[in-house]
Amino acid sequence: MAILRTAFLLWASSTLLCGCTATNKINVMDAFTNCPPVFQPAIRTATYSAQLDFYKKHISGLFIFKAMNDSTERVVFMNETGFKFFDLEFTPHQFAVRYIIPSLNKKFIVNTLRKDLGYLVIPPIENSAHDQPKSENYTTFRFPMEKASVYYSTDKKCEHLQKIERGNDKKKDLIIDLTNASDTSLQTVRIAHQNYKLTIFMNQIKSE
Amino acid sequence: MKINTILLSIYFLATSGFAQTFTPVKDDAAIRKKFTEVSAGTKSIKSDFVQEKNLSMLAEKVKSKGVFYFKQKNMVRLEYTQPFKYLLIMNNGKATIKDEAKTTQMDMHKTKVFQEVNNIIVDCVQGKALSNPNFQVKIYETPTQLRLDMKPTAKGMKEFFDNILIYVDKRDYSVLKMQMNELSGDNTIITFTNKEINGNIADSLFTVGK
Repeated sequence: MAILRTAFLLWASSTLLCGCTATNKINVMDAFTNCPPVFQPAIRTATYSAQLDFYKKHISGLFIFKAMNDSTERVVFMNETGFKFFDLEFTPHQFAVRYIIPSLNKKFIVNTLRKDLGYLVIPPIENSAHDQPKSENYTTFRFPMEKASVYYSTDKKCEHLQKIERGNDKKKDLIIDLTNASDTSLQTVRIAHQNYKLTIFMNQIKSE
Repeated sequence: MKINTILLSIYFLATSGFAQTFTPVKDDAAIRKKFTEVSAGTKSIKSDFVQEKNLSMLAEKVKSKGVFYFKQKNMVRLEYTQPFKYLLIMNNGKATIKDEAKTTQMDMHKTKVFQEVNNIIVDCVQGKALSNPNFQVKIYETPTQLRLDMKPTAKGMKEFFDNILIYVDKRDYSVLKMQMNELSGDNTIITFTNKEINGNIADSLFTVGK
């Protein structure tokens, strides 16, 4: 076990260093060490009161986030009377729908939930290529993805994650605003799609 | 001494377990008749409630509580007060929901599952649960309680619930507890306490804004 761990650390270190050389824009190891909020899950285990607005449809309920012992992250959404809408499972490289009511079981909806909630529970992989665009108010890390980049922004001192965005430097199609309850937990989350009218607002009512 | 304590504990556990075992009622028709009679005399109910959501992935339950109001014929106010504010009013075929951000109205007849779930309590207090065509209902009893085992037969409800168990106090035929068992193994339990039967409840409670 110890040998495996050492081997993994060696592999991780070498990949981190390789990543640094490849991007040649930022010292990845330093970024990870100096700005940890970007590389940690924004939410681990907590319960949020929530409202979803999709065009003229409005629904409220509870989001329950749970970091499981097997290192997966589960996200359940149910209404206040206990009626469960979906139960999703995230790992860094996999996603599974544990349960979803038939009327929500549509490819577009599942993909949107996977991405929106995935940004909150699965942080960027430490060695993934990224750079650091200049920002007046934030310390921002940009991670190029297939079709767009994802931007993680903390306050200037890198103490708290404050914003997650998707798009390019000129235009964002998804903006997630975050406020902190403490050093380790988020009080509010506001997910706002810019290309269509979908907004999810969450307010923490309980943390572990 | 230690062995005696253990034996005594086992005895109490065994006897209490026996006392709580539900068996099929002997006279089903008489129970149904009594249920309808008592329910017809129930003009209003005010009750505190505690809701526990059991999710298989969570060790602890998701708890909430509030106050439940019912008034003949079809007026219901389900008001959650902790740990969030949520108000559900059903009146004259319309459901109004007031959450922490917005008030929305919906026509219950157009949202069948919603209508079914929220009507179950009303059906119970009106004695209609036993004749609901969307469920197959079997009645079980202990010396102090009745349990209605409601198995959904309608398509919509069958997609969500394995069964719904309604625990009824034999003394006044009021609902003690509702347990909604989902197909996934999760369940929701609503326990009613501090019941006031046939007290004065203003109609204005069944409109939003009060």
